Amino acid sequence: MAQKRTTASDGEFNPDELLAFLRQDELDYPAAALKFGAAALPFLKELIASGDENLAMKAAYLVGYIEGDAADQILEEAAATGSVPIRVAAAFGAQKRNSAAAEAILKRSLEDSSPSVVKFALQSAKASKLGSALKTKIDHISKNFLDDNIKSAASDVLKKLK
Amino acid sequence: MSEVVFMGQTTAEQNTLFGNRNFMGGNDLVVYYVRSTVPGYNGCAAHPAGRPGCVVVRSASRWTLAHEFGHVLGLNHVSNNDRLMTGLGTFNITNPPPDLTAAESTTMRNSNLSTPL
Repeated sequence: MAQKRTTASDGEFNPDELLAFLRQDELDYPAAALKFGAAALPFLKELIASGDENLAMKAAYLVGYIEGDAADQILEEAAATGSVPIRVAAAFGAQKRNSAAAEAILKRSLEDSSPSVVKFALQSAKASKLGSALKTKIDHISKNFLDDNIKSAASDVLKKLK
Repeated sequence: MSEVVFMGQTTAEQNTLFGNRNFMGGNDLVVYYVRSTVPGYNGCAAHPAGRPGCVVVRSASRWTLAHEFGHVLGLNHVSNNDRLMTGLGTFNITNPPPDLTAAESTTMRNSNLSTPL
């Protein structure tokens, strides 16, 4: 049985409740982000690094819905080092961050070799209106990525910038 | 990798995925096993009209497929981890195999997708 963890600034949360949430089939991430908050971030970071693909992936999505610099940092690391489902979660989560954090995450995600990661990075760049800031990378994808669907998606983002 | 929404709604990407039903009849439920969904679920029962089916992720619980089938056949969540349709997560089922009530069984049998044998 996991024990309650506390932080000085964010109060406490119950890891058992968090694990039970992450074990659900269809998850309400926004509600969970409000419930568990930034106090859960160190535990979520541990889960992302764990070998349990299901928990790690869901932990990464939940981090995307929690505000703050610590969450930004976890997503940036996830974008660089996670498995494909985790890197997709980071790319998706970028659209919920402020511009600077989103740009830092998407700079990594747009250089990813996985079509799935790049697809959601392009969507987040568009949703965050970061197309101009990331134009060079998106242009490179539109011309050089191996997957034609991704090249086309990148071209569409560029067209919307004009 | 498929972006998902809730019951009754589907994204363009889901519509494309559910378009893959070669050799299936109109009432056949098709299950699409995927690496993950966006955002991360174990499964999703939302499907386009006339293309019944569901999505199950590769890391889902052993009960997720039956749970999503239950949704497609008309069942809703319950707050009871002894039952298949628990909304608290099929990973958290406490008395495997999980239960279906008589009413739930009737609902599934009465679904337009069910065929009497």
